[in-house]
Amino acid sequence: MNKKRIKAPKRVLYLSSPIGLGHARRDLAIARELRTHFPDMQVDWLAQDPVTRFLMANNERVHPDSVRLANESAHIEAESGEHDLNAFMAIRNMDEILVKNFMVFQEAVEQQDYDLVIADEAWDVDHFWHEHPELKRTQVAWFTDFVGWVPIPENGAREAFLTTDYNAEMIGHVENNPDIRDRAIFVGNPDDIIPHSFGKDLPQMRDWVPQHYDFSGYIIGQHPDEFGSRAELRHKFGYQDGEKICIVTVGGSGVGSNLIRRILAAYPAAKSKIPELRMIVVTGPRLDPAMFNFPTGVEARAFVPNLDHHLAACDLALVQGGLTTSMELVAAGTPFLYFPLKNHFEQNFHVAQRLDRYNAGRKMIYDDCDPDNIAQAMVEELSNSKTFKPVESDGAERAAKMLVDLF
Amino acid sequence: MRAVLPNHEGIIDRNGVRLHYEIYGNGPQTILFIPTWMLVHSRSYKAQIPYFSDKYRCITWDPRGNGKSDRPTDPQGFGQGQYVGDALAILDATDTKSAIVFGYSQSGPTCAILAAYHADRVQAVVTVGTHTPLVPRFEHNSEASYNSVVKNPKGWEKYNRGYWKTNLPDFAEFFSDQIFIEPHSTKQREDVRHWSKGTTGEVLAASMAAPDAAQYPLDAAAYQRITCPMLAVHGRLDPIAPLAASQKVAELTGCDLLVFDQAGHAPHARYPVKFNLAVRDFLNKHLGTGHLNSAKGKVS
Repeated sequence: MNKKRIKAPKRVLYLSSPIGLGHARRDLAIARELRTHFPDMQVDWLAQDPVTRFLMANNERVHPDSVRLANESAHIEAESGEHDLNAFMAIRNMDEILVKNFMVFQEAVEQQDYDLVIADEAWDVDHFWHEHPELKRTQVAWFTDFVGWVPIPENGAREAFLTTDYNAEMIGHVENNPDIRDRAIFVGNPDDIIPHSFGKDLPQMRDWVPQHYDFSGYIIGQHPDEFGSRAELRHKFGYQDGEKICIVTVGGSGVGSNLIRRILAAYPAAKSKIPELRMIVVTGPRLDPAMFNFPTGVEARAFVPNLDHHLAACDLALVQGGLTTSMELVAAGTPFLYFPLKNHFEQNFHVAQRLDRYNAGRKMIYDDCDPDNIAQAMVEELSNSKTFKPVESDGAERAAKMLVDLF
Repeated sequence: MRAVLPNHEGIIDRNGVRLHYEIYGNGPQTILFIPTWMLVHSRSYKAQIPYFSDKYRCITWDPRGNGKSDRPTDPQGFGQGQYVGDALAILDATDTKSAIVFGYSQSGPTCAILAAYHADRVQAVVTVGTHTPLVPRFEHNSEASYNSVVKNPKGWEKYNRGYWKTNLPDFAEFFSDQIFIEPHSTKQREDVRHWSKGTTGEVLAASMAAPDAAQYPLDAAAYQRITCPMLAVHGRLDPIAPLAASQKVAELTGCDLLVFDQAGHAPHARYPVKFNLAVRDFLNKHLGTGHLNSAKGKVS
């Protein structure tokens, strides 16, 4: 273990999962909060695309060895089918990438003294330091927004056996090596834990997780309360009072092209039911708008800066089912339809549980969706007056406070 | 998706048997990853090559009998004489004067022969789970076992050339469980089963009937001729190649011996990060400079 460098500026090595952009947004918020405690703190981000693009746009320092990392986001895309991603199997099949990336990480902490490693769903660091505790070089804070692999029931006994085996290994690692995670932070609240067991003969998640995690509450990149009023935002973006602004966004990965096509097919029916509809499709950093045939009247954008501000200004959003975008909508109080990827246990169980708790969003089953029922759901959600539970705005601040005494 | 792709691929032809090789990275020193028994192919080094190719030029090829290489079924096409010849031919084809040679299980003796008989081509040796003719195999996977005739074999009775020809998938399932006896090894076992689909029972049976490499006797004197740096890694719980094999090699060569106390036959695949760090430090100590820890000792 490195000696604490009492007077020198604190040095942090930050790993932010590149599977989706949500981790980077909350991690930047946490880093900024930590800097209020340690103004001269230096943060090196060991990161990969698309996280590096986000970090560089925010003037953060990307560790030079980041170029050696094998790309996890591209792997996840390669594992996906038509609106279908078996997230457990995809991460399981990422084994050689995780080995490679851990080696890069380990050399980074061997060659440079860091006061703290922050690992936001950096599966490799958490797994291999537990497997070989003697490799640990410095304090580590582990963040995640879900705990536990969950089998998709339709996928049968083999998948249930495998998720149970992976959960059992993780539980054994944590219980037998309590000194590895110096802080384990669940990004959320105890009620966000799904009421499942980790598998046959294993504990209930709601019993085990609170014994091994602290809870920061939800951590949002920037809370919509800070954006200004909805009327101000609409004026700024040129959204007219008579318009029903509907934003379609499928996240930062390249998995969402089929969902965009299905929603575009529903546009004529939706427009006939909602004459004042104005649909804006944001394809994201990894999908080219030229891939799609946009009906007349639909606006296409590859990238929208401050998309979260637009989500807070629009009347309705159609999204994939990832946690970050969904929670931005919840926080803004914007009605939305979400279409979880098939076989994606996190979107179908962990995220859905959370959205139910906030009384937010309407879950859509992609396979059951045709143009008419998408259009009908849009009509109903636009007229729905249900109130979402509020999303806390101090999650990053709470998380940073949990890290202060690790230095 | 793979963690790294080769920057060059090629094919050599050795007396009518084509072998497919790949080169990764472009470091100043070369590591030659020699394929093991053709139940699996070169992807069995998937936890090593993406890392080591950052600093070394890494070459591997698919063994005769699997992957993108040919599948001879004549026993004359197999054996250490052929495997050593393959390694030398790959070195020549890739303009590699000398290399660090890396062997696993059956290709451990290939490395030892190269170091003893072609010392000018070998800078260092790393073996994992090696066999050696100087230490008898376990009875359950001995020559007598695979030559026996057993109806409805159970357990290790499946290590039997007749059964390989009739039910290779079942043998591969059993054998992958023996390679990875450690808990929580489902992925590694699945990989072996998947790669085993690239070969046949006829190929495996022919490989085990191969003639001895008379030109390369691997006796104590041969091991004692090895002067280059050498690291032998072995799992204490290995049920396929006895730990005594690596211990004997270490005794004869004076090489470093690293024992993974909780590992079976493939520490490089089951505990890859610990293994990679140990190999990195061994190579740094003997061939380069830089951060290192002692590779000698035990790993729990």
